[in-house]
Amino acid sequence: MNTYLRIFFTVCIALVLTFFAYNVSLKCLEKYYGKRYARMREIFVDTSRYDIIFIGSSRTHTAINPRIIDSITGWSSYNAGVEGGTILDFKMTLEGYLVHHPVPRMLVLTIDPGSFAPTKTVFDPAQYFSLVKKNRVLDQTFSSLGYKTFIFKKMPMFGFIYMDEHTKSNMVSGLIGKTEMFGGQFQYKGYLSETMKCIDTLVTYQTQRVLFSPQSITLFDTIVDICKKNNIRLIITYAPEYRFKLQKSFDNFKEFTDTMYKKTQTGGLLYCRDDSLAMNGDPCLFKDRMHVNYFGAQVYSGILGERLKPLLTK
Amino acid sequence: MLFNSFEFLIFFPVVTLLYFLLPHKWRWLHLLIASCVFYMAFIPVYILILIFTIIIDYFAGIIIEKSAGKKRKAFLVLSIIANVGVLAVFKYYNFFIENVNELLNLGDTAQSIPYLNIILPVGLSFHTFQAMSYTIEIYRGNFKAERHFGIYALYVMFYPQLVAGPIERPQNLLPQFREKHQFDINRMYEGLRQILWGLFKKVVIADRLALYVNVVYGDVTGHPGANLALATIFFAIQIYCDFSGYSDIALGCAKVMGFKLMTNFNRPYFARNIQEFWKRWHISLSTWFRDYVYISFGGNRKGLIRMYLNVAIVFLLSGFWHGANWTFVVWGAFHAVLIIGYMLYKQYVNKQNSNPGFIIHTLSVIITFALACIGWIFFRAKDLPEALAIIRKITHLNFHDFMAVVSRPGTMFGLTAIIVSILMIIVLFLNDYFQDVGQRLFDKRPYADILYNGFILFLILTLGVYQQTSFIYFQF
Repeated sequence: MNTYLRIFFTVCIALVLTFFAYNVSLKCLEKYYGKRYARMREIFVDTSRYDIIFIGSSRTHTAINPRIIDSITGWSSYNAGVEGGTILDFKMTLEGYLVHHPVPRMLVLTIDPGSFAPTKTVFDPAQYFSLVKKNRVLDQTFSSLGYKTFIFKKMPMFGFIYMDEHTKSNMVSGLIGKTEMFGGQFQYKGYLSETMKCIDTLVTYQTQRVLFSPQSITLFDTIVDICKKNNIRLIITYAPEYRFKLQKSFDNFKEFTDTMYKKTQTGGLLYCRDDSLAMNGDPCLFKDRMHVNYFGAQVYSGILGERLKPLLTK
Repeated sequence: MLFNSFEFLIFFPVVTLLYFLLPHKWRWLHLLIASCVFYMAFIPVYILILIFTIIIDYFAGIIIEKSAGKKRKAFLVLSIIANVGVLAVFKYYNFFIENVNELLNLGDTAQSIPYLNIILPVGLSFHTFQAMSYTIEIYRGNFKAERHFGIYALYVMFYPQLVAGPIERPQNLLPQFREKHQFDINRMYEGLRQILWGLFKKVVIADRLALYVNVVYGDVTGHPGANLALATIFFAIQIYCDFSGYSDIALGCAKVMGFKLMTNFNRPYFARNIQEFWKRWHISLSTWFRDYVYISFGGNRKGLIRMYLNVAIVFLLSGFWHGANWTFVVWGAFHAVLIIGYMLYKQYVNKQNSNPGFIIHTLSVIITFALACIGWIFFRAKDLPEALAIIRKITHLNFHDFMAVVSRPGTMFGLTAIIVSILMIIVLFLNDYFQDVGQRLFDKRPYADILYNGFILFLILTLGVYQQTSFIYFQF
């Protein structure tokens, strides 16, 4: 056989197989991450109007129930917390949200000790791939992170090259019918319900350090600027934690709080330290030292709603 | 520039196309510029080191050829000092100082000798060794000095093998730059097939296994012996696929343009003994040490004791060549002991070189692989105490601990990834084992060839791990 034809058919076979595998894998991922993907579309593609949005890490995602916030404040809110998110994820989420949604009246941003850690990528990037072509902020962010975003836009079947082992393993999980949600878990306006189990109080933790990078601090300043420019009221919070057990494990936690006080004072921002709430002493409101459980989310959402209500009427 | 990068996907076809479009008299210049671009994609300023050694060796070569007696030897020594000097400064200085400071008990005090704050230039050990082989061959009268400076520079800098070999000899490579290579579609196909297979080894196997190996070796105390054993086996496969994958891509790229580089790997994990392993592993380096160190020290011509001593010297140097760390020296020493032990065994116990049966053959292969794995522990470990700790833990294997860690969420490498890795390793070994049979089959049945290569390309596109950065051997 002609060698040119050999090369041609070799490439054709590879492309056909890849195309087939891509479409199967999409279905598997949709099965496994169905709720999460729907949420991502709500944040980055949908155009609904919300008055308050909550951005932060999993400590926001599983702690603030918009149903309770809405019932107390009378406004419409959305929980856009990102699992494993750092300040890079927060900035991308805010900017990406603003591309299609009307500007909210208020942003409640939860900053963790891990928020300023030096990071070169967003958490679990694969969850954004299918949205890159629909949201220019995702496109710009992923380009700046070194991704060739034309692959997601023009040749999505080659997106495999940017998928990590975690995502590929979850494809297999989707293939055998699994999902990432456990029985009874639900999602509502971005909020993800947590377990009803109490914290294991006997767990001990190693001492670690809060990490800062100058780029992360700059990203925080950018978020403040975006809010100012769009006339969004920005409130910074520190999420509840069980008996200060998270901050006690950081030997330079003061450095973190000093930075936050300095930043919020300079920006004229309200900084709410929710680590000193009375609920923080109740082990049955926490899943672990830094995440509230289902009941904790109910209690905390009520407290937060009551706090936000007078702020919104002003 | 990495072979497994998007930039190289553009670079290679453009350079190859221009190579065949240009008249023969300009091709050397084109390849030289391309090689400079390729090298400068890492740390641009380090090209000055290459230029420095190229200039020294170019003139040293000509003077060595023209002169005789002491002058001839003096310029060889000058050339070697220049090359080894560069290695000593950039690769071994900090290691030397660290040990001196430790010996003098200076630690991190003000009196301690300061370290150099430098990054090791990529592939330094490769191109300096290639440069040294040039002057040594001229000194021995085996090769005439190259008068064309650009072509000599290209010999050192030829981009496919610049940063991780094969370490070429002037007799093989230099004359090829003067040959006029015509475009040959069949040769190009062979080259592309070799590139494809190299990429498969690198991005599908080596980089996938690295995810597991890096996690386990990054936290030796936190992992049980079973995990460390699996990680060590995985590392043995990883380093083979990483390095031989690079060599395959290098050979393939060169072949597409009409150059034939020396084979660097020949299915080393099918070796029946450690001596055979070293005839199949990193062949260009093994033969370099054989030709320029072992033979220079007398080889096997000066009695048995001297021969064993020479073997030990070669392997200690080979270990040190790999890195400025005692772990590499111990790795070299370990292999020296194995080789000498095997030579003694052959000499005094089993003198017959009979054809063993299948079971003995298979057992020999497994034992050789296991011994190589023990050596890899020293190679991969951070330091000697860690290597010994790993060996201690491996001797206390516990399957339950292994399953607990493997299935622990968040490691990014669960059971699914391990199963996929093992399947890919099976593909690798089947390919290696049936290489000759497969080649004959593909020659007769082109459809089988198309299906196989299409499937390999599909695996590269779907199962490739592209989050890794460099090739392991770049650091040497």
